[in-house]
Amino acid sequence: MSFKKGILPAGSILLLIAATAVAVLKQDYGGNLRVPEELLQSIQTQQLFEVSHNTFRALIPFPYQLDETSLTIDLHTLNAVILNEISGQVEALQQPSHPCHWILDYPYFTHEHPTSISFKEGKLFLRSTEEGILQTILSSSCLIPSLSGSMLPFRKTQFGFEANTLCPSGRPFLDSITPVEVDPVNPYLSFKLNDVDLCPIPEARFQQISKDPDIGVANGPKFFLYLKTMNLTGEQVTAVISATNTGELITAALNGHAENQLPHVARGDSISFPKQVTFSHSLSADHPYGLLVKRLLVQWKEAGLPVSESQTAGTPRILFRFQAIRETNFDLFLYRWLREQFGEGWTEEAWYDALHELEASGTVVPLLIHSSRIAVRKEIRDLVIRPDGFPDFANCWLEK
Amino acid sequence: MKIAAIILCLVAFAGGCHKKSPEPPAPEPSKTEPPSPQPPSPVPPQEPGKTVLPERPKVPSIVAELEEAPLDVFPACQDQNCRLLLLFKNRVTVLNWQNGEKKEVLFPQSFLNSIRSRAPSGKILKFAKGYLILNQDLTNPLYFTEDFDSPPGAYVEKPDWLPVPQPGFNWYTLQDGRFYDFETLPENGFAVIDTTYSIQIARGGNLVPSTVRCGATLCSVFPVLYASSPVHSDGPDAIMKFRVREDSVVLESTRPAQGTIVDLAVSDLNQDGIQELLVTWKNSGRIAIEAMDVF
Repeated sequence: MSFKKGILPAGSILLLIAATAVAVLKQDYGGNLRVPEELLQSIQTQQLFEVSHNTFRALIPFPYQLDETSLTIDLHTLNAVILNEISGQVEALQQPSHPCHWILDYPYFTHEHPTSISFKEGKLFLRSTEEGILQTILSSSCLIPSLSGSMLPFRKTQFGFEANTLCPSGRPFLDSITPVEVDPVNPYLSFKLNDVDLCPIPEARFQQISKDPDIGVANGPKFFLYLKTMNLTGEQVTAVISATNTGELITAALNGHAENQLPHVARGDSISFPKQVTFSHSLSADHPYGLLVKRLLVQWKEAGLPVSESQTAGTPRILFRFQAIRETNFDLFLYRWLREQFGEGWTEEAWYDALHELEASGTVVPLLIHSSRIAVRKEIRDLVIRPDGFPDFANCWLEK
Repeated sequence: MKIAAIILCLVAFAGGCHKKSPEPPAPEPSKTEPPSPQPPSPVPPQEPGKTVLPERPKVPSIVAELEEAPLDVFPACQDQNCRLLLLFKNRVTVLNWQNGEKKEVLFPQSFLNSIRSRAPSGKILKFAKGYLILNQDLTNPLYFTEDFDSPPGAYVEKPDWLPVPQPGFNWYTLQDGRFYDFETLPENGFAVIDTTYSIQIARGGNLVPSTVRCGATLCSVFPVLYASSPVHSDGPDAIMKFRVREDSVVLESTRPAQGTIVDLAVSDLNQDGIQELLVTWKNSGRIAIEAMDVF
């Protein structure tokens, strides 16, 4: 068994909902957007770099200069700078006039990949012998929450967010963004009542909502769905996996908006189900994943797995869990998720080994990566969805 | 109506105010006047004893392929020779359309505004013996000499008739009028596309609006105006041809474009006496300047 890697692009690719930088109708300035709080979680972060196919691209103006001959990233132009063929080592110089804090939280500090990251006298040094590793490190540093507020498109106020007119990339088209609380069970109601301009689409109502002529559908945040098992043998875990049909879950419960992560196992002649297994989850009755869990139970029961939702002491347990993916890189997500869920008993250097061990023992069974959808009012133009699945409001505008 | 203020301005500065320059301008052919489309300029008769002019180069259908969408394209013709001036956020490119040679002229940092626009508009105007560059990211209009060899000068004493690019936004203002694109017309006339996507003509003390909505790009071969169509970039764009009449602006015809129209200009690039409509468009993967017959 192994986790499938590379589901999310290491090089961050922005997804445009509509239109590009050139609009035949010019962007209108002004207006307030009402956005559910859950979709605003990334508004105070800014993507700094885009790295793909050995191309490093600054997404916001930087006070640095570029010198390809010495492989020094030193950007200070007002436009995006493209550096091709990064290799060997990269040295990014931090200018004192624009202090920014770098997140150096990345797992690839192993002996196999002699990557080094260090601060010296206010300068950030990145060194790697492998291009791929370096790419990942750069892209993982893309979202920097503590970036100097004056560089972000929106400033936080006591009421929400207002346009930063001094943003180096230019003031955003919107004047402000107001966080709105929506009914988590039926966010569409808030949308129809004109209380909110964007809302998550519960998969159970996707067919209905997506036909609404007032909305456009955009990709939204991603979620990692998995099972945790307790007191099950390897054979029993294999039997549970055999009894799980993720393809049917994707079709029936998620409208096809998911990628299969379930490990492939060879179906043996005899299936070794446990005598009794307790299944638990922490979902409310009307949770968006409620239907998926019900389908999962039906699949297991039809396959003959004696599963019960009432807990009995000493019986093997299976827990359904999900976690939002906020990282631009799936490996980085796995690393943080592992540290959060199974933080004790492993060292930074051996994190990937620890993950493999959890998979091999069946303690963790990855199921799906669900790419949720959000409803966007038609008047909202040029909305960009970032690689972490959250909307980027810097370039969107309201058609009047 | 806000645009009415423009008329007052134009009336107040009637008498060729748009020919003001940082230096007293030397007399020159009426290059500041928009070219007249009909009839085409006749080829001057050959004087006895002079050699016959060489055959003019043919204007290709795709005049140039670009890597970045320009804010404005301006055909600069001088001595039977035309170049294309391409305005970008931070520079002007002088393009020889015949051999593809380029000369990049970067705007000095000291002329850049501290408030930037995410989607600036830009305009190149023929002005005295050079060009004025207007762009929301500049502190002032920049004046360049015709050859673009001398450093630019900030044109701080702005004449009242000259629109102001509004810093941080994508429109120009003149008095209290607000518009996305503009063209000067003969007899001190002025045409704009206002922020409601309506063409407004200020001329001879009258204000004539169009009843048909258009896009945000305008060019003029008086009494004909060409504009882009009022679509988003995910829709098929088209060139709209309007005719200015005494008391109305009438849509005469439309012609589809190969992509999102970035700019429109009319020129006689090869100086053969036949004008071309230069359509700069952008579609997925290509940005090009296309030469079409005027229609």
